[in-house]
Amino acid sequence: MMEGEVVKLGGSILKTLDSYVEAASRLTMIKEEVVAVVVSAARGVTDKILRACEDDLKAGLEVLEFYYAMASQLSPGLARRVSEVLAPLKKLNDDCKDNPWLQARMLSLGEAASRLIMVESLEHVGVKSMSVPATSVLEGYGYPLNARIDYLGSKTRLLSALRLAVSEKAVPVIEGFVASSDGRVVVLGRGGSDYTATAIASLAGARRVRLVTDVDGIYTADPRRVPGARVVESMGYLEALEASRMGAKKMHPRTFEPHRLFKPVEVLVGGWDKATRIHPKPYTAPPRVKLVASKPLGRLEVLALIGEGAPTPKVASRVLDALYSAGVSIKSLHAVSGRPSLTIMVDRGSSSKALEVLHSLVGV
Amino acid sequence: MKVERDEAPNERSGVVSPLRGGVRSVRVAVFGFGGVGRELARLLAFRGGEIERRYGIRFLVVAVADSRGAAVKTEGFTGYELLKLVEAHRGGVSNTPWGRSGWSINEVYDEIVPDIHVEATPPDYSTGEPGLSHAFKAVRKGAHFVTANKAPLALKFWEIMEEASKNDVYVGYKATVMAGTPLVSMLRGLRGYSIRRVEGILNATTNYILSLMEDKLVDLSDAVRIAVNDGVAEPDPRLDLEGWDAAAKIVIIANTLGIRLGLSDVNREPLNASLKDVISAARRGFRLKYLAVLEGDGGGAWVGPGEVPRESFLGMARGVLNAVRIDVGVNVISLSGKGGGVEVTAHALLSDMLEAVRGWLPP
Repeated sequence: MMEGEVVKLGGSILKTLDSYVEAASRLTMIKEEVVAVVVSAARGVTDKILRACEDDLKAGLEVLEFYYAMASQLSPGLARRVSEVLAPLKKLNDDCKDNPWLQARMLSLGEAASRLIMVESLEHVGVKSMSVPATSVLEGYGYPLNARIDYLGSKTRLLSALRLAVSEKAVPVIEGFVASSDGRVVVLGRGGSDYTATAIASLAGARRVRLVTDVDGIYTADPRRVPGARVVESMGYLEALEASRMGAKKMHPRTFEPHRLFKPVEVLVGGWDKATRIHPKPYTAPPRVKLVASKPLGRLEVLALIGEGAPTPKVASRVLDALYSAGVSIKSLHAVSGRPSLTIMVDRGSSSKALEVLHSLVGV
Repeated sequence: MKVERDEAPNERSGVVSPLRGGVRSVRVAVFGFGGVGRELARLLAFRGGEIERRYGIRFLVVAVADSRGAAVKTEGFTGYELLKLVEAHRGGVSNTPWGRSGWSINEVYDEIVPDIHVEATPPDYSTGEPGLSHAFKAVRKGAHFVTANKAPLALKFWEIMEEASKNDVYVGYKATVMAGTPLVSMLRGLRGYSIRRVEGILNATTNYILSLMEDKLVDLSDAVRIAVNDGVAEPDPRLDLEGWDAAAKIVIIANTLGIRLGLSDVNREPLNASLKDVISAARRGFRLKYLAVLEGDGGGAWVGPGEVPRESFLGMARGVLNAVRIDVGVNVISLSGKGGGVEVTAHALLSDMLEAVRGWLPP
């Protein structure tokens, strides 16, 4: 078992070579602690590869040029390696649209190139680093574009690689989102890098997972719509999953699955300095409303108060009172047994007002 | 005896050999650094410690060579260094800090003779090169020869074996036929039996293509395209479609069973089946398969499309599976399993590397 943390670098913070090197510099400060670094593809790359698979072949070439330009600045050898890895993007054809295996293989290339650049960036800032392809250590199964990780099938190989990193005092870099199934590449679905990171942490027995993004954490409400929104300090797994489901923070639906099955691990979501702490314990005392999530549904908007304290008669009554006083009429209000949320549907027209009113109930 | 013995306890794991105390260091050189060679290097990096704990053998990779040069480190690459080599671009090991540009096997062997030579160069069935020269060089220099490249054995099986026997070295080739399934080990256990007939599906690519034709009702060219897209077939699958791969495998099987057969003795028919053939076979309760057949009693060998009953052992081997059925007169032995892929091939090479130093393993 390996104490320490798994750091996942999201695509939102991997935009240019400078951002790779900056992330690498950040890692130098905690390198003793790092069990593994999980990287996503750089920002926008996965969408471009999807577009290339649809019929926009130019988008595939853009990905190649983008990574090649970054790699060239680090070393000519890396640039050649990156262009070899991404070469299949040059030969894309119509088949990609209807062939999930091929699509999975193409999508995985964005992450593979990102891994190579991260490894070299770490070496560039003086950190010994090892490239560990996800296909060598993570076994998956199921539909190639939404595969699951075979935890027990992956454990031995993963731990062998991580042990080597420990003995070599090197930071292992693994791409997220990708696994292999019987020797063929599969991907884990959008946001799958979170799932990769938590799976690795659980299997390795790490203490913590840090999901690094370009925001400071999960907010009490969408800060673009509610000026007083602030970062939630801590929440439980179920609350985080509910927040994700209701649109507050996109997370892979299986992000917390490994923690439930294996070792529970603390997860930090946010920036390097500030983040929301998601802890394995289901309840905090006393249960409270942590945030308001919102997502559109046709002409309506679904608003959800999320937190173990939300689905209670007391909160429901205060919601009704507050919305009535503000003159907002509601279409429905419901809670589902076992889910830490209270859901209210309102007309799109009055949703901003409703959101503000409901935000005042955060902390109740 | 080339293999050195470390008398000191193993510093890395603190564990001693399960057999006679101490850990043996075995020097390995890998020739050919494409998919298979790299996967083997990665496997040795990741699992070297475990192999050492389980078997008391420490494989030290002292050289890797590709088409443009080599990287050499006489005291052996660390796991970290092996992974750096794995990430070098194609033909780029000589650009690494341990690189020797333009070096070929001769220069490498002048610098250091390995205990085990691993051959992972691509096959060339017309000349056998570079695998053939490598094989002779290795065994003459006293290195055990472990190969994933079929061409040297398909062309000069007995010459290589005789040379190896003269020099008291082992030739391991589990990775050449049904790499994922220990067929070669089983064949070696059949010495002395009479061989009536060996028939099998030995090429995963053609089996996958024929399965696609039957399942998706597509013609051969479409099925080939899908197989390439699915990552099963090589971008240039000619060696598979023309039967070279299956023919080389049946030659290796025959020779392992003591039946002298050369690649030119195999009657080879390319895969040229139409969708109509596939459907016609299916209507009659058969499946079209790309078969490799060896007839006992000097009956020769052939590879090509042939029909087998749908419910038979070979008929049920679909997709990327390989299957072989060996009739030895007093028994019929059937074996099926995954054919190749870089991962299973690298594992087969590792298994042969351990076999080469089997004298030091626990019984």
